[in-house]
Amino acid sequence: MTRYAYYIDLSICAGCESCTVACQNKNGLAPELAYTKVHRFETGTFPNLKSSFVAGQCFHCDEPACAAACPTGATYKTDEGPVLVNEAQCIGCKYCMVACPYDARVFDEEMGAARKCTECADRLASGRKPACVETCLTGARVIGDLDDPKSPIHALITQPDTVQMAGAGFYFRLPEGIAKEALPEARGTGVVYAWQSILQPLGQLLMGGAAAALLASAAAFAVKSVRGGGTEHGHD
Amino acid sequence: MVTTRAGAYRRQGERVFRFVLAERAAHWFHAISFLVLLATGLALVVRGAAAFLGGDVMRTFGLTHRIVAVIFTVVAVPVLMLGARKSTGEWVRSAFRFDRDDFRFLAGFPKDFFGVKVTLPDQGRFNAGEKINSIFQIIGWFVMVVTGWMLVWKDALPRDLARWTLATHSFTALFLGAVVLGHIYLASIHPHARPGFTGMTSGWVPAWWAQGHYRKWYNKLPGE
Repeated sequence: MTRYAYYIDLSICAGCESCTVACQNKNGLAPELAYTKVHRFETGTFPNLKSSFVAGQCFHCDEPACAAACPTGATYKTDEGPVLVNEAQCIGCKYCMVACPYDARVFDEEMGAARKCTECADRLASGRKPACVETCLTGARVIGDLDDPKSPIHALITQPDTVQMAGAGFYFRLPEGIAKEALPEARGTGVVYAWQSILQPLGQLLMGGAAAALLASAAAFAVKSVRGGGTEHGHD
Repeated sequence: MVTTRAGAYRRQGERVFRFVLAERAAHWFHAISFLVLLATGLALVVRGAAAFLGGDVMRTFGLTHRIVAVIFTVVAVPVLMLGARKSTGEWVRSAFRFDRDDFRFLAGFPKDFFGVKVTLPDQGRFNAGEKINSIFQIIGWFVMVVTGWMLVWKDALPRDLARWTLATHSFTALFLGAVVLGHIYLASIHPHARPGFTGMTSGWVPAWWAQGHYRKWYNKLPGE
């Protein structure tokens, strides 16, 4: 089997955004849409300021909130790792965009679909690297197979200064002086699971229960009238 | 309890006038828009339904949902305010007020629902079950309208708020769906309740039925 892991070494990332452009080019995205972005921020207090950046994208969560919220099943998790969307099945409800804790879903108005990074699953299937990895000038982006013992990914993700994104096969190496709090944090997905796994089934159960109760009532009256009770009105 | 002003609600021979035109119109605008909203929204909630219906149908459902939501939001309240202000006020006030007879009615209702003989206490213009339905409809309408219009602009909301809003909107919809199944069954099929159906069409119900179901109200009605 193949299980992909993705690694970004932020200590050598130059923030040049060529990954962003290569990705837009490969996926035919409009200039204002991007699957992978470089987030710039400042740390410290004036006058001791430091400008830094973190490259971010879909982390291909093990249990993706976007797929849980998708009413059509257009978004799904593959065994190999990538979270994919069948754009023809997308109805544009944007539930995935509400659910995603990383802002990684991108709405393509022209297509009417909430698109996303595929980790270039098509390229991986034919033995090529994703566009962002292939184009990265400093070699900061690496993808590898966790089930392949010879993959260089193992040495990279076991370095002491490597941070794994919670619940995802995605790893960052942080530059010196940048705390791991700078990495995007998954918050609020509990609500998505409560909505999908508790509230919605409970609501369906209520509707089903109501339907069952009134069928039982109708059956009780039918039996009564067959037994010769005739039409009986009133409570007394 | 109930308005008898101008004698709109009155006995006349074998029948009793129960709902004025504004009450009936508000009821049906609300009912039909609610059912359309429920059907078009349910497709997003029932697993597999959206995939089965396909993208084109679901997009049409989405558009229908937003258009009918306007009717659901703006029609019923003004119609009631213009055409039946006093009795609407009395309905709302009475819906949230339960006395001993109401609780005894609720205790005995399950038996009556399944056709078991039971003596239920005298009720006012609305029985305790109808009061509970009224509470669910009033609060449910407000929750659905507020969360629904928030969702039209969900892109502009903070993510956490959008998530809670979606969860609330879909759960309340399913809850109200369960309530409306009961309401439709009682109003149109249940042998003890369905004689009152004409109250929502012509406005008149059989006098014998009103006397049995709403004795406290019936006894106060002016005659011919």
